[in-house]
Amino acid sequence: MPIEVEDAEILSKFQDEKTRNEAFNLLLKKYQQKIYWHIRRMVIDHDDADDLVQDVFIKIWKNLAGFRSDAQLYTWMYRIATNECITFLNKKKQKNNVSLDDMDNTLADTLADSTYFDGDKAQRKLQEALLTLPEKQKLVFNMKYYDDMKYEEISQVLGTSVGALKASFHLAVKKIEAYLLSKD
Amino acid sequence: MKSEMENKDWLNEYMSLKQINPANPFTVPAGYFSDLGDRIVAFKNLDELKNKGSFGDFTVPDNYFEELTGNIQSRIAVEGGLNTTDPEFTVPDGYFDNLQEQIRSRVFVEEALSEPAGQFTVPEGYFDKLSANILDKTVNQGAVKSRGIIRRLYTSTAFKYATAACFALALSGGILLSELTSSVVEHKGTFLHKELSNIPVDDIKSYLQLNVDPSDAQATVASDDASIDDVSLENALQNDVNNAQ
Repeated sequence: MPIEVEDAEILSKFQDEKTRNEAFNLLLKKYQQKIYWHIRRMVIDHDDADDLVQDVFIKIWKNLAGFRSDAQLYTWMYRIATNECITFLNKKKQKNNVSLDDMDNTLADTLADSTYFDGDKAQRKLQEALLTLPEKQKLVFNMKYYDDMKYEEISQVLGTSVGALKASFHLAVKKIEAYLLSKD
Repeated sequence: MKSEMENKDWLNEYMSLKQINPANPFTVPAGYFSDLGDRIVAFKNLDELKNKGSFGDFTVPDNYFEELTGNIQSRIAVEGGLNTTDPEFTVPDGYFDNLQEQIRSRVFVEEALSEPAGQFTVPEGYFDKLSANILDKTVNQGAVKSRGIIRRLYTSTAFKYATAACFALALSGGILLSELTSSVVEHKGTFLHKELSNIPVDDIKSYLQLNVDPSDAQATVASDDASIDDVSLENALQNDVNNAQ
């Protein structure tokens, strides 16, 4: 269960070497699920997400001391997680020697075979539609639809302007709608 | 609230999407999040140890990781060069698959051969004399046998017994021969002895007591003028017997 601790308190404790580990544990308890689900929606497979979430928090541990408070802590962590996911998916494409379109098919197969998917038919169709989107559109949609994040927050994560994000989001939704209607 | 409405109002324009349950359809293994934090902390600690450049008592040479990438790439290039098919140098099919086993077998055999044969030894110089011994038993067999026979005859036990037997026989024969030629034997073979043997001893005693004077024999013989040789005596005695009958 995520705990309710202020980010300022976590950062303060982290600055002190004596309480650094305690701060990191607090950080984990507060954000581990959010970061995990963000990654999971990108890579689909649970085991891949498990590996990536550990890598992300290692990077957070290494770089948290240099975090500047001009951005929100969780958007900063989201950014690290997003970059790790994109790097992972690109490596997977190269490893499997597949094109971008074939990578979407690969993830679709993973979704079809996944043991850890409990959605209904419509939800599965939605995930299939998401896999047809470019990665950035998929990210925007996920953060907006599942995480209820504001465009400003998403802008901090993706480093894209709010206007571009709105356009990207609406484009994504249209494609999804068209996909859902075409498969009825 | 307004922002929240802004976040959700857009769904009204997309009915198909709006009808879909917005709940997270993905699941995780039971208890996954309960120990995720601990696993991440453990992973973090391990990563710190790796980055310190040593792991307890384990260290690496200076600049090891800096040179590691280059070393690996060089190794890949070398092995790639070795793997190129060279039509001049080939090996039989399955050669490398069996090579290890063949080497092991060869090592085992050579070790067994090099071990001193404690159970099987030969006398010193055996192999040096072996050729000569074989020749003696084959090509030179006749000469060797004849020399051997002579020596063996002299030294054999049977020869000794035969010699003793011959000696005993000769001795017995000599004794027997001497007995046969003695006067007693001769006398026993005479006519007088044979005739007297037939007369009972008591009759001879009576006759001698009545008729014979100790001094008569010589006188009798002397009076007849007969020679005292055996033949004459025998004839005289025969005449006496005839007269007495």
